[in-house]
Amino acid sequence: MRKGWFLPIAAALGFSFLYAPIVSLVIFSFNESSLVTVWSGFSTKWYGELFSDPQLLGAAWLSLQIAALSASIALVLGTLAAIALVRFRRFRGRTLFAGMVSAPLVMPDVITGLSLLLLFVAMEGFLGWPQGRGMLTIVIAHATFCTAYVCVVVQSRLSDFDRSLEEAAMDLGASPVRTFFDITLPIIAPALVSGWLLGFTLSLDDLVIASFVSGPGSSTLPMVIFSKVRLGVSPDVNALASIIIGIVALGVLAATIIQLRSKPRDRQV
Amino acid sequence: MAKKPQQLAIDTRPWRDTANNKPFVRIKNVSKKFGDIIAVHEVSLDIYKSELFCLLGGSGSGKSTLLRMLAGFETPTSGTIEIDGQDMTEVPPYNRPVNMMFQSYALFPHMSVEQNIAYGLKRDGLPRAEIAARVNELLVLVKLQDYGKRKPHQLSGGQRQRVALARALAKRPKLLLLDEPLGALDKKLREETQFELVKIQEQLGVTFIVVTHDQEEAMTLATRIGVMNQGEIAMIGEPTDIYEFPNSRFVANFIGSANMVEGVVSEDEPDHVRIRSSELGCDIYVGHGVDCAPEQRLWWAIRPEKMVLSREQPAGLHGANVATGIVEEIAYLGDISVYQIALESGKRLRVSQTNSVRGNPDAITWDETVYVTWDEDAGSVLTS
Repeated sequence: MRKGWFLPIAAALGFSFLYAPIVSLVIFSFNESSLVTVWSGFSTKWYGELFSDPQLLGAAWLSLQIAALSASIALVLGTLAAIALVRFRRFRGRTLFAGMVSAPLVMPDVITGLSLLLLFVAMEGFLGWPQGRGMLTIVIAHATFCTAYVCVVVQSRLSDFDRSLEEAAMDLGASPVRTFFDITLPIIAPALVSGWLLGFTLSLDDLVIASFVSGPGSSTLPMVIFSKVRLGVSPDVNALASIIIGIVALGVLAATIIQLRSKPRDRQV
Repeated sequence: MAKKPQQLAIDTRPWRDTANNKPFVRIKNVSKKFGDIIAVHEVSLDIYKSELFCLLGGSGSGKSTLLRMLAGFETPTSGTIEIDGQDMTEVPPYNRPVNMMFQSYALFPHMSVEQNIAYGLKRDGLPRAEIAARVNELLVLVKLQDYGKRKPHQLSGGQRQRVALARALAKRPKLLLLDEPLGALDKKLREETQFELVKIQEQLGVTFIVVTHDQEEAMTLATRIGVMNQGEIAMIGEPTDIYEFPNSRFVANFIGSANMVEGVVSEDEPDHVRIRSSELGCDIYVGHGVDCAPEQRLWWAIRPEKMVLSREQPAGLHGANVATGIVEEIAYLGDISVYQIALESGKRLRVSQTNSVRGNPDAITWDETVYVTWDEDAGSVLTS
């Protein structure tokens, strides 16, 4: 192919459009000045400040806990739903179930958040549980929409799973439960890992739903950042954002490596 | 080769003496329905110890469903399956003394060759040392000693096939089920593996039940063949029975190639039958009695190699068994040539002749008028 100038320029423009804001954010997180937009020299003091801010650290720790918990719950529920959808090809209400499982993918966050809030309030009124709103309600809310993502990821993996592998294990004397843990689970493991990571990231990201269902003293990291930014952007938020970008980048990298490494190994033979 | 004494023949062919031999696998009136579809219909089948039994049929004939019922992956809608005198109809696959080799091989992709073979032994809780010894033994048997540490995706198709066989044999099953065992191999490898499979089977004395759609494979491997059609067993017999004495038009057409002719019984005697066939343009004289009635419409099938071509009119038998036609096509296959003869009625016969003379200049050629003749026992009279 003839080397043109159009494609490289288009690519450069596209990438700078995507990454210029992030790069400038990371650069300015090392700015010495307390004015976010004025560069006055290199410094890591905002990182230091960040780690001495108990509010931000507390929110970060809460967010991580919520993300890990809701991703784990979603992993179990989503996998079960995926198995039901793939393995039981014909059951009453299958289409409805399939549609309902993936509905949260396209549901606006505002509506999800609002409906969950109404549900929690009603449940508290009738059942007395969950008492108030806080970490528990956020975890439940996040698990709800993460389940949909896990289900989609695991479903695609299961649908090209060769059933005769399971039959072979049973034929060799493994009970159905044993077969699931020996054969099915290891083979769909990459999908489970990426499903979990996806759920974790989505939960860490979420601002809207968490705002609806959180209570006093349970502000997640995005909520804290958002409220801080409303009072004016401070450089320590830049530092925090840079750290989050680093963590997410590592997570994406890990997920990609797991997927790539598992490819040749799990090719159906 | 010297002829085997009769006694020995019965020893190695227990199905010929059903009074004194107990079947090892007994399938009784087994049916399987999937919704409204009848996959297997009222199949009864006895298979004896150390047999290599082939279930032969096209796709959708129910052969795989029958095999899966033997393995325990499907439960019969009705009927019973007995293995070694025990009712196995409701026993789940993991409690059956049966192992299966899958068409796709179904090797566990996350385990090495050794782990694959050892999997069944571990489930039985055998001691470590014994498992290692058995795995080694099996690797030697299938000639994969140096491949134990490899993963399935690092093996060729033929090697995978042998790992699958070793894994299926690991638990020393009484009965081994093989689903299209050679289906995924190329032609050359297939022929080699066929003989290897028979050798291993004879060496271990395990009863094999093989499902295949390839009649050549069935003929080479099997002690007996069960031909399946639309969920039913069309015929059970030794390969020669199936080929030389088919019991129905379906079997005659399915196995090898056959010329099928329609006719009407004109003479029905205990020692011979005469069939009038307008398609052939002559009578067919059959040298044995047939269960039929005068004027009954029936079919007569003959293999291409059972007929003889000549330029001069042959004497024939009792004024029958000579048809006349024109050579329309010749397919030269080296060892034999297949002639397509167009008869006056428009019916075409396929006749094969051995090319015993090298580069024969006097061979029958295109557009010649020829006579086709055959022996009084050369064809099969079919009433269904």
